[in-house]
Amino acid sequence: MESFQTIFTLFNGFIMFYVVLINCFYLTLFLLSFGKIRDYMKRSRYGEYLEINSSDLTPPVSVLVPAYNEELTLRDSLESLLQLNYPEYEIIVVNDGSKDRTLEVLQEHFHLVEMTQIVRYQIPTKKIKGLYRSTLYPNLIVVDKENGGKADALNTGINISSYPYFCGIDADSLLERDALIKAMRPFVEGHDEIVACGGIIRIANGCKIRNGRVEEVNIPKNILALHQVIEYLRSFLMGRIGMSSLNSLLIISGAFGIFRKRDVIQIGGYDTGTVGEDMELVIRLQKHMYETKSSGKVLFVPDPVCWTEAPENISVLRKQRTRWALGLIESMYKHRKIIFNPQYRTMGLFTMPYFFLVEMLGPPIELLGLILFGFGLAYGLVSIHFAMLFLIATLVFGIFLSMTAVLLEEYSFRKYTKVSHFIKLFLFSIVENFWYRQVNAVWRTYAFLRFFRKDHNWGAMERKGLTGSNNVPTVPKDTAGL
Amino acid sequence: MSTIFIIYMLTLLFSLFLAGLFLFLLVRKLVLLYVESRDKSYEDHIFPKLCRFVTQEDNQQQRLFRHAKSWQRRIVLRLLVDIAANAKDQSEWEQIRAVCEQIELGKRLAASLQDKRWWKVAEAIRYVGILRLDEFASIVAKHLDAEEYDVWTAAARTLTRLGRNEVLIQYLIDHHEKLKREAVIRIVDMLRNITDSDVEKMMAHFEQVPPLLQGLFFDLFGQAKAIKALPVLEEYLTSADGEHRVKAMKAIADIGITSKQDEVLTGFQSQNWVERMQTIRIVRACSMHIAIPHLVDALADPEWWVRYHAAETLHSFGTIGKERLREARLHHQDSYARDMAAQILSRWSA
Repeated sequence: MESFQTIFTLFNGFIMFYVVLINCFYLTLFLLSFGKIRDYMKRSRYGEYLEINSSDLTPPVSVLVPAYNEELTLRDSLESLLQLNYPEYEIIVVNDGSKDRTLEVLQEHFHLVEMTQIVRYQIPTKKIKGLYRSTLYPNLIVVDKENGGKADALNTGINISSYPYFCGIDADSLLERDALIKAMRPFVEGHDEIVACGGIIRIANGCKIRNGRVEEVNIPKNILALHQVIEYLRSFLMGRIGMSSLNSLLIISGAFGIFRKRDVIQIGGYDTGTVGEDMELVIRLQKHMYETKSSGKVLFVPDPVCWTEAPENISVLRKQRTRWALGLIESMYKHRKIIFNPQYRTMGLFTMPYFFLVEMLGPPIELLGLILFGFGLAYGLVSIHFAMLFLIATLVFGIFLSMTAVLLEEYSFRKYTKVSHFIKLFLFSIVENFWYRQVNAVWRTYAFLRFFRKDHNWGAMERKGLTGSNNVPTVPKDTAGL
Repeated sequence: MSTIFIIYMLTLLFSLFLAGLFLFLLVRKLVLLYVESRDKSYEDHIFPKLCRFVTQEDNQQQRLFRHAKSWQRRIVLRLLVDIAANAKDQSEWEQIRAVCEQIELGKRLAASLQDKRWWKVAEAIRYVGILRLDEFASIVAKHLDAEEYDVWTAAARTLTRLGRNEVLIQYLIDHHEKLKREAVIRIVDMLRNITDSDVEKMMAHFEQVPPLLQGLFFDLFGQAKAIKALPVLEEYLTSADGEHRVKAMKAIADIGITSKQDEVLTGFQSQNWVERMQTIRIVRACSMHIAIPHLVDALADPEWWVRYHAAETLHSFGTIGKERLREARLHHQDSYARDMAAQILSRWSA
């Protein structure tokens, strides 16, 4: 019994140490991002980006939109893309073998005509069934191909694209008019050699959307979507900016990211064997740059906004979160040699360990800690006084970290203008520490089971349409798509 | 016990800090909302008056801003920036300048231009450019040497807005050695609406500047459709330097005139596909029907872009070009040529 108690105490000590470590990581990221965001705000206030629009040096961009069963959302999304404020761009919609009316909706709405074009398969992909061009918008191209998943659809888009940069967009997302020009600014200004750049993703639920544009920003009424607003703010304004300032960004969201095409082709394009293809691609890009001693950089810019539809249903959210966690585990496993490897400097010694220890192992350790905590209390192995205090301290710090999202938002873009928005965000940043975080930890821990069972399905995403006009969601039974 | 006490105290302090942070953010939010609403109502009140004054519909507003508070002046300045973007003639600019004097902008800008904070300097330089405050041009020019990217780009942009392209051109000529490649490209990119005297200046110093800048000068000649520069450009059609040849071709295509048709046509034989493509651009821009047989051959070029431009150019040559394109679709020996001809014809018929 005594040795059991010693092991228990040691494990408790480990959990305490782990909690402190995690909080240190987060605090570092917060401090880094706070400084960076202030700098960025000054730059965006006084710098002029609109001249990029008339500059001959602004490179043309191919916007790739992989679509699988997106008949409800794709029209809005394309309407927003067609209004982009950018001098030269093409939109390539890749219909990844949709089983609904995605292609028909596109044909009807955008007057597509079939065209002949020889495709150079620089990255191997599934077979292309047809290529179409819109007679209304000459820069809109639609590719109809056999189903091969999101990564394969993006690779097809890369093969079709004519321009040196491509921008991957989710079919259920809306880009703000200046989003592309703001995201391309670092490439054009050429301070550094930029290889990839990501923008911020915000939740469109609750917002007033018309003709593919967000007219009024609101807080979602749905509780789950509201929690995700805070989660996205924290993830982008704190996590991504912090990592970007260390030049060690490992994720560019699949919903909105720009890449230099030649680098992506050089490393073989998106990996079709993982569900976290966006993260995996960036890790491979960073790894490639370290190995070739390239001065290239992967950046995050917090201003260009992409609005996306967040799941409002717990089962869809569970599937999404499990898939994301699975993608993370797969990427960590595939690139395990980088973790703690000094050859990869910041990436090997800070960023990859952060993703491995905090993002990947964090949820199961947190759950284990909670279980042991209950066990210890039940069997009198820990002092109730100490345990409660430790729990409260952890919660208070958790609340602080949740609040940082609201703090950073208030200090930067203030998209949520009303006082009621602020109070709601603040309240939910407290509430999330009492259930949402723990539920997420369960889902993310479940991803380990899926990983060991080699279950790599995507899971279905229920769509309502961003304008909310389509009230009957279709739930695709097939889960092999996007 | 002491550890527990420390954790307890830290938790308490942190909780108090969080409560304080919440209150601070809430008060800040309320203040910002109040300021926004106050600014908005003043803006709505003053904007029509300001517009009428600038357009000289109402000249009775001479002293309108004389006693304006600092926040009101800030709004007037913001509105002036918007109005300046649509200013039509000299008299409107004079009115804008009169408002600037009323709100004592000159003094503030002079102080800001000396500020140690780069963002203040960048902002001041920006206002100088937008409001065409020519008296600050020499101070702005000094900021071309600034370390901070936003400052020197703002300075370059402002000088072009003030119509001082010659300062920038001289700066490039004098400092090209110490400037980064990206900086040179960026500055040249800002040079819009260059005049004949600017072209002459560039031509006069052409031999002194490095190849990068020479190439960029070619781009500017093309953009400005500087016929004066045509002899220099045509000279480079036979240059040994491939990059210069391409740049010269591009500029000639932009200008749309050439007296050296034979030299241009030799570009079809180039090993470099970019040169072949630029040759086609010249052929199209100068309507060189003499090149139709070359264009038909170029439909079978190994490079997609060359085939595409050859087909597009043939199509642009009216009936005879379309006829050749139709023939190529049916009878060209090369399958890629047939395919490209069909693609362009079908696209235009759609």
